[in-house]
Parts: sequence; structure tokens; C-alpha cells
Amino acid sequence: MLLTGQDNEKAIIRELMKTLGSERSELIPILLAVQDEFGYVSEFSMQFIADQLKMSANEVYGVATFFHFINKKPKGKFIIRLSRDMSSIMKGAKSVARQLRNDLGIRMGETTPDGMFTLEWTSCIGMNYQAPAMMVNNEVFSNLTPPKVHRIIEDCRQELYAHRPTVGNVGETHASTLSYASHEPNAALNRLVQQRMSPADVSGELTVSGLKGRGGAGFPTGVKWNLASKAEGDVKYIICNADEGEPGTFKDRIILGKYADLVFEGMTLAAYAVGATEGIVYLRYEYTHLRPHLETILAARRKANLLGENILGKPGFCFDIRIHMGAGAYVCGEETALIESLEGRRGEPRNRPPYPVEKGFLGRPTVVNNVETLATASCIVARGAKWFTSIGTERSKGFKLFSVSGDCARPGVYELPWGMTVQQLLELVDGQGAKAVQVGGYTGELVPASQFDRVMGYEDLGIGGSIIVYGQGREMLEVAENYLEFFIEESCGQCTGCRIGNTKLLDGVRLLQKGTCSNRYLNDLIGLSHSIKTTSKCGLGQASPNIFIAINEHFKEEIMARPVLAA
Amino acid sequence: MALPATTPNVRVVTLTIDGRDLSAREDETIIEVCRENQIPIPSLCYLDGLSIWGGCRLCVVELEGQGRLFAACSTRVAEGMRIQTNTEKLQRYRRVIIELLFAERNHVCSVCVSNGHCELQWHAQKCGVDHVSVPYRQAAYPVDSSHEMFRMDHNRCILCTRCVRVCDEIEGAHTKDVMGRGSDCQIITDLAAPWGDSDTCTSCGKCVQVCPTGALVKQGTSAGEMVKDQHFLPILARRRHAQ
Ligand SMILES: Cc1cc2nc3c(=O)[nH]c(=O)nc-3n(C[C@H](O)[C@H](O)[C@H](O)COP(=O)(O)O)c2cc1C
Ligand code: SF4
Ligand code: SF4
Ligand code: FES
Repeated sequence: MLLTGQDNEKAIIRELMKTLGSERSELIPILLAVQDEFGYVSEFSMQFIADQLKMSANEVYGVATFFHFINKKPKGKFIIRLSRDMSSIMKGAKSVARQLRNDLGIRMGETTPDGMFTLEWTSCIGMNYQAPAMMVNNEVFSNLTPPKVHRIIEDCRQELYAHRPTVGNVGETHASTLSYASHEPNAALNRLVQQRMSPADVSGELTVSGLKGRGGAGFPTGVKWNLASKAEGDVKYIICNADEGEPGTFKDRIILGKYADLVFEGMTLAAYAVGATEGIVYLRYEYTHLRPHLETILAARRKANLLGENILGKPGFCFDIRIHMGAGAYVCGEETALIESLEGRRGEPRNRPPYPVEKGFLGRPTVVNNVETLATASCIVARGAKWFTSIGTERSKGFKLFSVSGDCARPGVYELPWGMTVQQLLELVDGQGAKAVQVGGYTGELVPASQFDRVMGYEDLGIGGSIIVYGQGREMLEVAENYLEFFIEESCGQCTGCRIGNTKLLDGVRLLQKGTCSNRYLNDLIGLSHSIKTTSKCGLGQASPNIFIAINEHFKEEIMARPVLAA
Repeated sequence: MALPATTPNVRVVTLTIDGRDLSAREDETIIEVCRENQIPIPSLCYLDGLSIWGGCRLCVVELEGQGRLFAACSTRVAEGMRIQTNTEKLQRYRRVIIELLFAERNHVCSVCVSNGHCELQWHAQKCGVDHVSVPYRQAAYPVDSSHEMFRMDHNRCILCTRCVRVCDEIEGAHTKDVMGRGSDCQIITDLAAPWGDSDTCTSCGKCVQVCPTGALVKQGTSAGEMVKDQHFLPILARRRHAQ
């Protein structure tokens, strides 16, 4: 029988679905797999996938167009994605971009006529300490310079096959992850089994330790596990949030690269504490290169009976973990948006309550925890809450991982006790004399030099752990422009303020750059910033205007001092 | 789905709204309680009979003791809640939201078939919008007149998704959906195809009736003539829900 192209496409998709499953929750993995096969997802494929999953084709279209990394049109064999975070820009991403444009003869967002290369900007890819960085398909290249990218392009031209085996480029850093490094393998799980800890003991230990979520929101982890264990549900889920999209953050990537066992151990502890049997690691698309490594570790853990049935011989202690890839959307780091996308929908944050601990993935009680939270939980259960509370301050217990990048001599991941001042941190990373420090990523706070005595801890700068150092020469309007471009790119678009308001703030920054923003209009925009913050549904909109308010508060003279540029 | 389920064993809670003592079933949302008690709350994406979207943020209210605002359409009442629906701060925020909606696309009311019958326009008047303080975006959006009976003018769409929900939840056709993200979001018909080519559309016209603005209209109407009727919705929704 003669197969037409479309029959062939159908056959391949059917085959893919045999391994991936044909539940709606597999929609995004299916789209990604189809794309791996054909280079993009055609409308015909979308229609066919929709029929197979018994959903409407336009819903599939809606999902496909929501995510960055799902191509609706054929793209180049090599898709080059240059990271556009502030650390990259400061370290010369723009001259790298120029080199790429010249070498390829195309602009950003275009594909070469021979179909070999596509060139794009992308949001932070978690390589800030080796900025600038880019991805060529799934492979990461860092510490880029114009000559280096020129060589990379030449290499790509030589090799005609599009998919080189991905290298697990984790990258050495000035890391000082002491507690993780000295963690005895599986000490927490062993303690749990040997000392016959009850589920309540486990969450109790964490509650006493005062561990708060490291994903940004700072919710007490013990309380979360306890709530989920009390929530009614036949099936419960543990989700590890490895969507690390906050620009300037790369600690989760380092943890997954070097201490993935601790994360899986933490998930297993959580499963025991809440009575869950299924765990999902939601890994951002940009970290595809980590997947083989993580799968190997999971397999080893299954073999060692650290996952599976009757874990460590404990009857009824059953739990397994699978990895689910994201498809490029910062907002999917927000836990309810993450769950929406896991269910095969557009990654739009839900109305809360209900919270995921009551009604999460597939309506079941679900714990969503950050990578670092889970790894730290393993350390705590292994060594006891007392050890943890002896570190840090009165209101911020323990230690935290900080991802440091920007204008400093020693960027990297640092494990530090809570309670350090910004100044102390700058001394440690050799970034003295800075003009300002962005504490907590783009959604955090811009701390000017006059406030470097502020303390990092929940009492003051209680944060997700991304530190970007801005040296004296940096222009704050350029910083604000970069942040707002990011938020506009990443807003899901539900809320009026977040969807439209941020574009108006960006226009305002451009007016300031031209020196044509009146004081009165600036005040209007500050009012707009507060409206966006208070009316938005999720943390993205609630934090997106922070930078605009901050530059107005701390750098007013600088931003108003622009000479008027002729139009 | 927050369709009023008449389950017998829901508790009754007491709360105050703008200083008035009220009681309500605990499975009701703030906006439902307000509507029952004739307390006006502006809303655009909410529509009785459809699932809750919570996107326009026009219905935000203040809860005593809470720093942030809550959307009245998607927040359930609770015992002892103290709600403010019309403070000066809220009025200001609502004006900003409406201004932003005007600035996002192209609302030239004088030539709009919905002029005088448009919810966006009505809210602008009610909330005291006297000018739009941010520049208009001036982006070009298409007008889709390919359908025999209806027209979709994206320039007047405020992305409330009422049309998407009514088409899916009440008509069961799911002809409409949202594509893209953030400021690129746009309502689509099937796979972003012309409406007239749709083989899923039943031409029932419900989306036209629920659309709050002049984005979805009947062909052949001229300026100011398009009056919409949404009374069918709660009845149909309950019937569907009871099935
Ligand atoms: C816009 C947005 C992005 C987020 N991104 C992440 C993320 O990349 N990783 C993460 O762990 N938490 C992220 N969060 C926080 C999560 O919503 C959630 O609070 C967290 O995963 C809970 O885990 P924790 O309690 O261990 O911190 C984000 C929140 C928002 C509002
Ligand atoms: S605040 Fe922004 S990102 Fe969050 S739900 Fe609203 S529109 Fe989406
Ligand atoms: S077309 Fe009308 S109903 Fe549909 S989203 Fe736009 S404004 Fe709302
Ligand atoms: S009516 Fe409540 S958010 Fe739109």
C-alpha cells in the first residue's frame, strides 16, 4: 500500500502515543515528541492529536501557541537561542548577537534561506555565572565571545546532522554547597525506616526546623506537607518544581546536576509524609540536557529499592518518580500554572483557593515544592531539626543557596546562612563598590548601595536566591527595560493589568530614555504600577512593576536627567 | 464551575459587605452574594451561567485584614468576612483597568454597532473614566467577516473569553479558543481559520449574545443597532448542569 505523507505522519504520532500514553495530560510531551520527529507541529498533526486525545483541535492550537519551544512552523536545523537575561547583556550578549547575525546573514527571529539556522532571543537559560550563554538545539554553550560563536557556527555547518548528543554541561562554579556535599547518601530515608518515624513525625521535624519554601513564596514546608496529608483524596501527588525560570537563578540546575539524589530523596520523604504514590519532576525545557543524567539516577534508585514498591523493605511504602518536560513558559513555575500545563492546558494560573494541597493535579491533593526545598528537607530529616535551627537567624532558620551573577569576580552558587547583609555577600563574591544589587531575581527587590546593610532573611529580604550585581557604570533604565521586556514576554495574558499595563510601563521607560517623559506622566505610571501589583492574579503580575517603582524611588535623578533626544 | 448547586447540606455564613450584615450560603462567591443583595460590582469576564475565568480583574474587592485584593467573581464567601466593594482605592484601580482595555485595542465607539449597548462603555461611564491616560497601542487587528451571519472584530475584543466558554460549555461546539500568550493573545476560530470556513460552528449565535463589546456582532447591523440578549444563559446553564 502506498503511504501518503499524512498517513505516515499519523502512523508516527500513533507510535509516539503508544509510549507516551494517550491521556490529555500527555499533550505537551506528545507535542514535543512530534516536534522532535518533524521539526515542528503542523496543523494536521494538531488536528490528529486532538482527535486521538478527544479534545478540540483549537485547544491543542491554544496550548501549542502558548509555549515558546513548540514550533508551529518549520525552523532551522540548528535553532540558536541566545539568553537575554541582564547578566548576559552585561557580559556582551549584544556583541555576540551581532556576530551571529553577521555570520548567518539573518536577524533575530529569522531562519536562513537554506533552512540550516534559526536565530532567536530567549529568556534566561540558567547560565548567568557563565554569561553570555546560548542554546544550540538542546546543547548549552557558555562564556561566549564573538570569535567563539563564530567557531560554533562553523562547527554546526560542518556537521550536517541536527542532533548532536547532548552533553551534561553542568558547569563548574564557585559553589560552596557544604551541607549537600556532606550529606550521607539516603541518610534521611534510612533514619525514617530505622527509627520508624510516622508520616506526622516527618512533617513535624520540618515544621520544627522552620524550613520555608525556597521557590520564592516562603510557605512553611512542614505545614504544607501536613495539610496535604490531611487533605482527602484517593491519590496524591508530589511535584518537584524544576522550572527555575527566574532570571539570574541557576541553583536548581546545579543541585540537579550534582545532588539529584537529595532531591529525589526529599520527594520520597514528602510522599511518605503525605501518603502519595506518584512523583513528578517538572523540568524546564532549557534543562533538557539534564534529563539523561536524572533518568540514570532514577533507575539506580529503583534498583536500590529507594523507589518502587515497599521502599527499603517498609511494607506499603510505595512511590515512583517520572520526569515531565516543560515547553518554555516562565509563568509555569507558578504552581497552579504548572499544574494546568501538566494537565495539558495553557499554563495560566488558577484562581486560588482551592490551593494545590487540597485540589491540585487532576483535582487531587498535590504538594508542589522547589528543588532546593526538597534537597534541604533531606538534610534536615537526616540530621535533625536542631542542627538546622542552629544556623541562621531567629526568624530565618538554616541556610540558603544563592545564585550570584553580574558584576562580580566570583559568580556562582553559594550556600550561606540566612542573616548576611548585602554588603557581606558582595565582599564574599568580590563585587564591592556595586551601584545596586537585584536581590531575588526580577520579581525581587532592587537594593541601591545606600541600603547594602539590609539583611537577607525573611525579616527583610526574604527571597528566592538570585543575586545580580550591577556595577557603577550600569544604566538603570536599561535594567528596567530588560526586566519589563521579560515580563511582557512571559505574562500569560489573563489579567488586564499584567497583559497591557506592563507594555505601558515599558513605553514609559523608553520615553525616559529619550528624555521625553514628564513628571506628571511618570506619576501616572507609578499609579499604574501599583494598580498592576494589587489587581493581578499571580505573583508575576504582582511583582512585574517592582523595577519601575524601584528606579523611580532610588534613581530618580539618573532617570530624569536624560537630555531630550531628537525624535 | 461555580454553578449554584442546590446541595442540601451547605452551611450558611454571615458576613458584612460595605457595612451591611448579610448571610449567604458558603458555596457562593462574593459577586453572587452582591448581586442577590443589589450591591453593584463591575465585572466583565464574569457571566452568570459560565465557568469562572477571573481575568479582567474589574471585580476586585477589599477584604479586611488582607493586604492584597480579591476578585469577587472567583472568591468564595466565608464566615465573618468583612468586604468593601467601593472604596476610593478600588474605584481608582477599576478606572485604570478600563483605561487599559480601551488603550489595548481600537475602540472607536461612534462607529461601533454596539454603541450605547456595550458593557465596556457602560462601565467606563459608571466608573467615571474621563480620559485614557496611557497612549493607545495602535496595533492592527483583523476583522473577520467571513461568516454568513456574524462578524468578529478583533479590534474591539477585550479577551474576556466569554465567547470561548459559552461555545464550549453551553453549545458544546468549542469553535473558539485563545491562542498565543500575554499581549499576543487572540481569540481564534478552529485552527485560527476564517470563521466562515468553520465546520464546528453551529451558527447558534450564543457567542455574539454574550460578548460584552462590539467584537462579536450580527452582520448587517449598523452603528448603535446591535443589542444583545443574555437572558437565555442562566436558564440554559442550569438545564445543562442538571443533565
Ligand atoms: C511567576 C512565578 C514563577 C515561579 N517560578 C518558580 C520556579 O521556577 N521554581 C519554583 O520552585 N517556584 C517558582 N514559583 C513559586 C511556586 O509558585 C511555588 O510557590 C513553589 O514552587 C512552592 O515550592 P516551595 O514551597 O518549595 O517554595 C514561581 C511563582 C511565580 C508566581
Ligand atoms: S498576573 Fe500576569 S502572569 Fe499572572 S495570571 Fe495574571 S496575566 Fe497571568
Ligand atoms: S470576542 Fe467578545 S466575548 Fe470573546 S473574548 Fe473578545 S470581548 Fe470577550
Ligand atoms: S469579573 Fe471578576 S475578574 Fe473579571
